[in-house]
Amino acid sequence: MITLNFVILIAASYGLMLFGIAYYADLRYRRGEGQLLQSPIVYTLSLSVYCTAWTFYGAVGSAVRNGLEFLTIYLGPTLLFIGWWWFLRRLVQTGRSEQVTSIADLISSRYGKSVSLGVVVTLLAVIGTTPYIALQLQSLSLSFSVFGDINTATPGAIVNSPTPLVVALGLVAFTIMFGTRNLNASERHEGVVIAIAVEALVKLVALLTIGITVTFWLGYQDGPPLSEQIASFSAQHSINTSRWTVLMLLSSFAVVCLPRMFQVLVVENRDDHQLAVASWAFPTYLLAMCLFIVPIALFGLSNLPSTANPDLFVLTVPLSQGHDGLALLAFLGGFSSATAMVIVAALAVSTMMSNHIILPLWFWMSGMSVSANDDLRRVTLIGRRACIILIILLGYFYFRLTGGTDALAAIGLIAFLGVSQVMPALVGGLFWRFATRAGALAGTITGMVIWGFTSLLPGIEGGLSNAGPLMPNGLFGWQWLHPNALFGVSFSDPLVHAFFWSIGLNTLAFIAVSLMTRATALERFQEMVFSQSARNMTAPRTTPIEGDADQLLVLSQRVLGRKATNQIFKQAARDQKVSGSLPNLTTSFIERLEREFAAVVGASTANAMISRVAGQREISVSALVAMADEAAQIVSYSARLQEKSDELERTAAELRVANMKLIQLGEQRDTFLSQVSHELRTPMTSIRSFSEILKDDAGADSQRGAYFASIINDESIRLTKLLDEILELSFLESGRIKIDISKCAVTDVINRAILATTSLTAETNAVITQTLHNPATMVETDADRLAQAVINLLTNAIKHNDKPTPEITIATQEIKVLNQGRLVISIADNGPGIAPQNRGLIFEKFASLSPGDASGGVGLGLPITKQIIENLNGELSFYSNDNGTVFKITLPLALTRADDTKN
Amino acid sequence: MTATSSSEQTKSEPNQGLSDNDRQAFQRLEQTNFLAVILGFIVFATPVLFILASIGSGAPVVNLALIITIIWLILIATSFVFARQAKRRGYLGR
Repeated sequence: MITLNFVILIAASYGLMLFGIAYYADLRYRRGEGQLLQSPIVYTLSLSVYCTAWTFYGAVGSAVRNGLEFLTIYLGPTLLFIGWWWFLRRLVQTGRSEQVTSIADLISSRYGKSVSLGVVVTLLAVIGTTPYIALQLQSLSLSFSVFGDINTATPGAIVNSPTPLVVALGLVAFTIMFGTRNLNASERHEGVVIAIAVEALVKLVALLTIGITVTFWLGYQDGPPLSEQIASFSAQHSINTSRWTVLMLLSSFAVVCLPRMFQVLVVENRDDHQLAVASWAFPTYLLAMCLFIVPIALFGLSNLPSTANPDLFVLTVPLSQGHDGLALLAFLGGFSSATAMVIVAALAVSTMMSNHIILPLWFWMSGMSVSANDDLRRVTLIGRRACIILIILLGYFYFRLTGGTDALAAIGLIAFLGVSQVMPALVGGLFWRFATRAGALAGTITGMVIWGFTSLLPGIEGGLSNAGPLMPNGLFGWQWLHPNALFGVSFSDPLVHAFFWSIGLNTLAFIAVSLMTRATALERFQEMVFSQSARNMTAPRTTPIEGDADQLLVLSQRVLGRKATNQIFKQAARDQKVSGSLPNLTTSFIERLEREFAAVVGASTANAMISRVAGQREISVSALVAMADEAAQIVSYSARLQEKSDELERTAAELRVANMKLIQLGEQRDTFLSQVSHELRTPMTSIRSFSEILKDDAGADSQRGAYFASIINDESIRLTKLLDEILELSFLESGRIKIDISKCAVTDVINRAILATTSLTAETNAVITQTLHNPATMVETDADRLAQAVINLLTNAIKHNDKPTPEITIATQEIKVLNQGRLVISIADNGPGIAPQNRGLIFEKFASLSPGDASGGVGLGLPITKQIIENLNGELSFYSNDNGTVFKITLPLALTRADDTKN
Repeated sequence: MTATSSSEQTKSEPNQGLSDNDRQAFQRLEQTNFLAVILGFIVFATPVLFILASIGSGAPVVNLALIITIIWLILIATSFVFARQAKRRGYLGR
């Protein structure tokens, strides 16, 4: 049997262990060994501060009372994290770049560093957090009482015991020790985050262990299967779909707006990667947390007395089965959930209170001046510590005031709705450029008032009053101002009613007032800074500011400390190339300093302080225009970069094509060389063989000798022809060929070519048709060369034609190009056409387009033809498809026609 | 007055140095992610879930728990793939 003293000892040891972990983590971070803190898993685990004792213990209680409705509290955040790319990433990036210290700071900063908005959001946070802390204290006290002699059923037994106060004081000590040991430049709390991550693991392991034990060892072996038990249990609870929807929305809002969640989600975030991992790891954590809730609830209902508190089933189920160790683990899980929540919430809210209420008040009371004797850092630290004490003790007194009744449990959802009133201003601030400070103020205050009237007041009524409804007939007896039927509209559930009216009217007021009011220059500037489009923009940087650098140095030392201030000022002086350690008060320097201030005291206070010393730096229209110009320049530069990039891509593509062509040509050349070698070797072998026979067999009959001699002659001719072609091409390419220009009739040239191919035509049954535009056309050219070109083309058209009757059509046409007459000779065939992949290679001198080419050519005909035509100042082109190929020779036309010459 | 330095922001700009293929592939992933969230919301936060759960068997609540778990797991898997791709394709600025 576990005694209360033993549990207290374990709790104290666990607390000391957390102290040790937090201390060690802090120490490592200071030494620059903070890799663990950058781990996305640590970040994800720290987000589990969302799961408080209310969810650790209360989820089972909620399942017993409302069936599967408890799932909505987990599903809302799951959806928000799955869609992190669209909202959370923007929020976290803005928070990082602006070094925001809290949600109040972010909203205040977005809306022109508004002090009033900061105060409103802070008040909302305090009102929403206090009952929540009370709820944690109640859970902790209840869990202690389970191991003690305190009867939890006796009203006031827990409240009047010393346990809650001791727990509250312990939490105060921990939070102060690790949360406000010093003023961090970015308001990050490394030690606390690691401790929270450890606590997250403990509560997950505890809940899973109990769930697995209950499901697989303790119960469900006998009786109906678990699935049937779940069915019969859940069938007792009807699901209110509108309440289900509202709960999901509310929990997704709360995961961003709750001060403790904003602290771990935004303020403690280091990079996008942490958020990316959390986008799947956090929903997984939530799924694991609620996996065994229903089995535990079922087991508790069937094995524990009907008077047993279902909110404590997680603890009492293992105890009732004699599993003391498991019960102790469950206690530590609950203890972790509650302490983590209280510590982070107290830290976050104390930062908000000190930055948005205490410091502005102190600043105002000290006449808006900072003398050398005022140690602002000390004021801030003391202020925060006082706020932590105040918040946790407020929670404690609230707990005592409500007497730890069931009404307290309902306050969790009421707190969710309260802090969610910030959501319209937050979303509008991030995504809507027309949102104004007045709109945000109007919306938030409207939502806050309606939430207080429709939700907070009826919610705490049960704890504060036993006299029935406070306003049975509505406010001032007006029925339309009834808390549960505002404007005469009632809903199936009070929470749905409160959500509809508070968030609805909040959003409406925010939009309407924003549209009716004009943003100040500072608001517009902040809007640009917050919006993605302005992220690459820098403010005018060299505008001198009127002010006293000495005074600013003193102020900075009070806020940032002597060491940090000296570093910043010396660095700025070096950057400005100013001798000494006092830089000029340029806009850029003031901005840098204000950012550093904002990380300690919040944006609005930082702005007020700097403005006091460096003068009112209202942003002028010209400054905004300058920024817009800069943005336009960036856009233009970006477009130019894109253009260059496209051009480079095009060049790369051309180079790729050229490279491919070179590779192909290299291959063709190798093939050609081997082919030429073969072509040379074959006749040479024949010549050698037959000449040897003739030499050795001189007495052979003359007929046989003549035959051998004719073969030798044929092979010699073939060899000579091949060498001639290579030589001719070489001459043509080098331009050393002799061209004899003279006037000649095109008809004559074509007829000569047809005559030259007569034997080939006869062999292949080819039909050559002439369609001459003007048979008497004269052309100034080298007739022999032109005839050679036409012969080559005709020969190719016949040889490479696979039709039984090759049909060749020769046509001429006269055209004018730039007022210069030109002659076009077309030679069209009905062959198979040139394969697309070969069309770019046909004029290459080494190209052998078909491996099994039976034409007997070595791939020099077309290159020679092209060179000839080019030497005649003409062009050779072609068009090919599956129905044949057309080659076109285009030449300068003769100036006179035959008729004219005659005349 | 607060302004963000351009160098800081350049790092967090996700489109830098990506090939067209990478950009298009990521755009498709973005659309899938957005669709998953919308569908998840429609299924989880509207009566659609209860209509789905009531189809088929006489024990709707078992179906409901099962359907929620399955959709939950699908959403987690979608998010996992998206996050991995976002990192692999260099979309995560620091």
